[in-house]
Amino acid sequence: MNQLRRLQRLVLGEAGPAPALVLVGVTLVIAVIVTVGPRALAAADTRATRQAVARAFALDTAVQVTAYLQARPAGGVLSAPAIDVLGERFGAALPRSALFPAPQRWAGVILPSRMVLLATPPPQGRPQLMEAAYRSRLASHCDVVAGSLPTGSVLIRPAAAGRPATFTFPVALTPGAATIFRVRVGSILDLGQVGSGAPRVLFKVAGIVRPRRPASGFWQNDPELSAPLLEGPSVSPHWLGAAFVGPGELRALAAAYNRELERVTWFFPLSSRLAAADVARIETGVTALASGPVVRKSEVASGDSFLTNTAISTGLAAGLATFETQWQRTAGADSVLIVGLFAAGVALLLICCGLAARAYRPELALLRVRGGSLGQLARRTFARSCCIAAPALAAGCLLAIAVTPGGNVPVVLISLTALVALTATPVICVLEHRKLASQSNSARADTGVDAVRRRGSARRLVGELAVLLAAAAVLADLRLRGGPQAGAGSAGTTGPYLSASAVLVAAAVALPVSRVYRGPLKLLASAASIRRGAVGAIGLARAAAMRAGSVLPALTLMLGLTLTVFSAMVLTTVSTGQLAGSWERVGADAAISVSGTSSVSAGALHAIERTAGVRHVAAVYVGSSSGGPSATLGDGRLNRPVSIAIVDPRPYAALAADTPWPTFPVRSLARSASGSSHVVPVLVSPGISAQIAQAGRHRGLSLAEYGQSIRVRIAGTITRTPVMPAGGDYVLLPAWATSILTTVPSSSEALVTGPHLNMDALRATSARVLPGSRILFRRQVLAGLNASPALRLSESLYVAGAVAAALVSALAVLFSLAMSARSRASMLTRLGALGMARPQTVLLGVTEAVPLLVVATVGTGVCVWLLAVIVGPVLGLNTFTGTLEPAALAPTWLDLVVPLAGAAVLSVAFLVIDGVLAARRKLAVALRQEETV
Amino acid sequence: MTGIDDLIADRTRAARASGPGEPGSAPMIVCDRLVRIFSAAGIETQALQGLDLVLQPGELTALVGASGSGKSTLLNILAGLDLPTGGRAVVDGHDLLSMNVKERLAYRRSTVGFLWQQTSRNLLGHLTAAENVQLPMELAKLPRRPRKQRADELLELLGLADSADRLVPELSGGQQQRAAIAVALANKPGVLLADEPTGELDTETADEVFDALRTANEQTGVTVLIVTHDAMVTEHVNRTVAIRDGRISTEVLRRTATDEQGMRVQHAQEYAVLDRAGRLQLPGDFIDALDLKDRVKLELEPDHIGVWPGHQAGEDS
Repeated sequence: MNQLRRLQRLVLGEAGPAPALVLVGVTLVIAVIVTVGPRALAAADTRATRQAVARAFALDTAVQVTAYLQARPAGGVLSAPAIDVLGERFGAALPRSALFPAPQRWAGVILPSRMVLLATPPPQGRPQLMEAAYRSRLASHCDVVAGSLPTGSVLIRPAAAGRPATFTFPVALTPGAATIFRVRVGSILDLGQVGSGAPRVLFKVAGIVRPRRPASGFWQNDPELSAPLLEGPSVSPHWLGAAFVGPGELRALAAAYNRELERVTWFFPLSSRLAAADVARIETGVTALASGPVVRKSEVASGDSFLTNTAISTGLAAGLATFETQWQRTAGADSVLIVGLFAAGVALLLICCGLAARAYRPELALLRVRGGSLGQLARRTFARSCCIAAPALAAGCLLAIAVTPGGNVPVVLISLTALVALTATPVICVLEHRKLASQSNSARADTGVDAVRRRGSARRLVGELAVLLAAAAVLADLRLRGGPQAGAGSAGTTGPYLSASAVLVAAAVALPVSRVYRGPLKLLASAASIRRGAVGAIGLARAAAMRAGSVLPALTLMLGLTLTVFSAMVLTTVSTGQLAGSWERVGADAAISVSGTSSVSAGALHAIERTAGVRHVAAVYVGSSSGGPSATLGDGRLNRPVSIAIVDPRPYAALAADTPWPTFPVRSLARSASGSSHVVPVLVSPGISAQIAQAGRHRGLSLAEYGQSIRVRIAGTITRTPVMPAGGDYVLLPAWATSILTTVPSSSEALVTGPHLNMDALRATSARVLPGSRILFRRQVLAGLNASPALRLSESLYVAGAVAAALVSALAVLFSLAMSARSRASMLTRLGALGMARPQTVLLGVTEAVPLLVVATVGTGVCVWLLAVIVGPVLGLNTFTGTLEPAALAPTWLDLVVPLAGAAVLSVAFLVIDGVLAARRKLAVALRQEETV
Repeated sequence: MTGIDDLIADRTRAARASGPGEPGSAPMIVCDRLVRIFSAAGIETQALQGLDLVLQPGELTALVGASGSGKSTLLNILAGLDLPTGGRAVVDGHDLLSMNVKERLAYRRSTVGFLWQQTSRNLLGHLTAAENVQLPMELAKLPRRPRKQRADELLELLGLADSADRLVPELSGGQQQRAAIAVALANKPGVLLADEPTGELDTETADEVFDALRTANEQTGVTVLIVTHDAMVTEHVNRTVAIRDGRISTEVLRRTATDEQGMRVQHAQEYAVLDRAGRLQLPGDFIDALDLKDRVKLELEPDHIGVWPGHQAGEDS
């Protein structure tokens, strides 16, 4: 126990427990942040990947092995058990095979389709073809509706005179197939003979089975298995369906089909329990497997009936392409946050270590007087730091690991944090005392300068300028690389420049702001000194005279606040961008598109208008269903491809007023007073307007589409409009102009607005009055944009990051004020001794917050603006917003004001409490303590 | 020979004739025209203006002077905490002006011990008395056993054997200063410098501390220089040096003699100090008594020099 107490005394030292406790607390917090960040990101990546896999098309997330089976005449066929054995072999060779659960795997064989011979002509003259399919585990993928699964044996009637042999196979069909082929349990389907001498193939319906989970790969791999497909040319399509055979029928099938080429499939669905890193491993592993020995061995093992063209593939890359792109985009913003938080945490640690070094100064000064070398000082403080910071670091890391299960331990970040936590205090102590020693040693210089040496300021200025220039160069390079000049591939990259952008911006701003903020304060102090009252004059004069701590607290505070605002900015930008994106995709609250040669009639329009929740509706014509150019605009010598849109100006203007886009200029498209319609006023997109202006050809323009031409006059420019929400090069005509066309294009879309649209009612109305139409709701588009797994999980990371950054900012405020606590207390003691009243001393203490808040407000504002300008285009957030143009990062007033207000409230509260406590101390005691110090 | 060597030779001869120290030994401290100028905000202050001082080994000397006279500056220079602007200072053979940082460190570790007025500056409060005494030896990389032994010896010498394992706050003011003396003596320095060691103490405790200093001086032979305002201290040292305006102005030498009745009587004689340039400072009360100002007349007599006011009453000024 004595030894423990002795150790405690040695560790805490002359300064007592306060510096140690602060160091422990800050190290713990920073260790947690540094460890949680990357792990949370990895965990979010895994969760997002799992969600993306779960949402992806089943075929895209599985591994599929296909081969063609050629049954030899003399040999046997590949039996169901042999197929299963081969499946197990493939499964064992798969990378991360545990992620392809065995119970979900299946194998199948499909024989070529055969025409079903019908007694009567098929309905609508559409022939019916049927495939024979075998699937393992059919029972677990369907429900028997009638009859049973095809487990019976094949009925073979040998050939007789003039009659071929007959093979009757018990089969199962789905309800869709049963309906199309007009069969029920017991029905017989005649597939005829494959060739002369081949037996006649009959399928006897043994059961009707309903697909279970139709979206699964089991049914999607060959869609005709779940329901017949109408295939072939549109003039003479045919039905293609399939019938299921049992495992014992494969040999007979091979014989009946005269050993035609069969397609064998082994399907390995991917479990959603994978980790994010598994995706790349699986893709790489499958690629290697495809060219590896497994394929060759399987083809050999297939025996007499040999496999050919065995191919192993996965659609994982394609299926998760959108997710991967989105995740890369979020990784950019995430890296800014994580690196920024790490840098802020390290800076905070340095401040804390500086405070500790200051607390140890008297003790170390005594050691120096007694002859202690700098090395001995360093070893002593290093041992002390190890005893204090190392356990806190370990505890913080363990706590973070416990809170965020999964993911690797960020060894590099933790090591760097440990390096700072353990070595910063001894290094600062050594540097301080070395400086004192060199000052003492050089006191006999010719200049005779002593004590306070100001020679270091030039070095510091040069150093700051170097940092400023380096940061500016890196940021400029980042901006140029992410700008329009750069390739598309550079947007959303996570290079080191992007990751460090917040730190660089904060450094580039903190250095000059810390130097120049005093000028305005001096002016204010001069103005305040004219007035009566001491608090303002003294407070502002002191604020103007003192530095806002060293640059480090200002930098840490600015960085913390900037990261807080950055997180909010990203969320706000994505949110508003998604809203804009939903408008950009739909053009209105709902868009109803008719199919084929249908059009939106006046009656249909009227019915839609009467539907619950509809405020405005307008029928429009869009020249090309794909949105591409369908017309030309020019003067005959120079024609430009354009898209055409035709709208009825008045109802369209009313609808456009419900959208966020500019007011539609109805009058610009009005018919001339004379009633002449020979020259039609049109509105054009800005691109077309600029081209026309550049070419200088404003007269004699004509618009031609599908062989028709009308003369037009450009009446104005319109940027975005509901009928062309995605923009582009287009010409917008008034509907009255169609009267001069020989072929009048009919409205192809109905645009609907209404803040409380009843989607079900509108769907029903649309189906009734516009059969075959497609309806797209903006609300659904918005929900789809918002449901991106990458974005959903990143949002929680940004919120957590904002909280962590706010915590770092709060600590930076407190430490910055704590660093000036002694001089503040000394000033207040002296003023109290001179007769200043207590409330005045408290108020005076509060003015200490002025330099800090000035630096924080101005600095953070500039940092946020720079970050938005430089990093915004590089992040590529339009992946989430669905907008065509890059989403511009922009903070709202709330994003900026709330963190700054928080910093202000915290600093004022701290200073008020500090001032009240200081005012309560007896003056005599305070003055005496200062003498001792 | 250089001027300083002449001085040392002179002083050595003088030391042979009187005072403590081994016969013929070199002086422990020699300051020759020591100058220290401080500059701050463009203003120069001459704290020491060509100070000469010689201390013999084993002397117990008090240094007195008004605030701002240069006492602490001199002490800081002799302790190796500050560098003079000009002149020369040699302590126990170490030329303080020619040492580099490493040598200065070793000097502070092993050649001088320092004692401040405030006990909080002398000791580390989180250590025990014994640990504080061992600290300088730790810095000198002495092994553990000799360290402990030496610490025990010093604490025993200064009457703190029973308090060795007590933390500093648990010691009385006097005990703390005695512990500080032990710390200063830990590495067997040749010189012990004390800056007003009894300034914060009551009379009884001050006596206790001074007795400890004297014990240290007598038992270990360390040369002690005490800066003090305490009259009790000045009365109990053999030599009191007064510093005024950055120079040594007067010295009071005390000796004890036996009178005709066999009583031991202490005699104190004040001397004005003559520097190498022949300058001396007249005591302030003498100057005031004769209203000496501007210039004085000197007259050489066979056995003294007379100093008369520069102008008499009735003479033209």
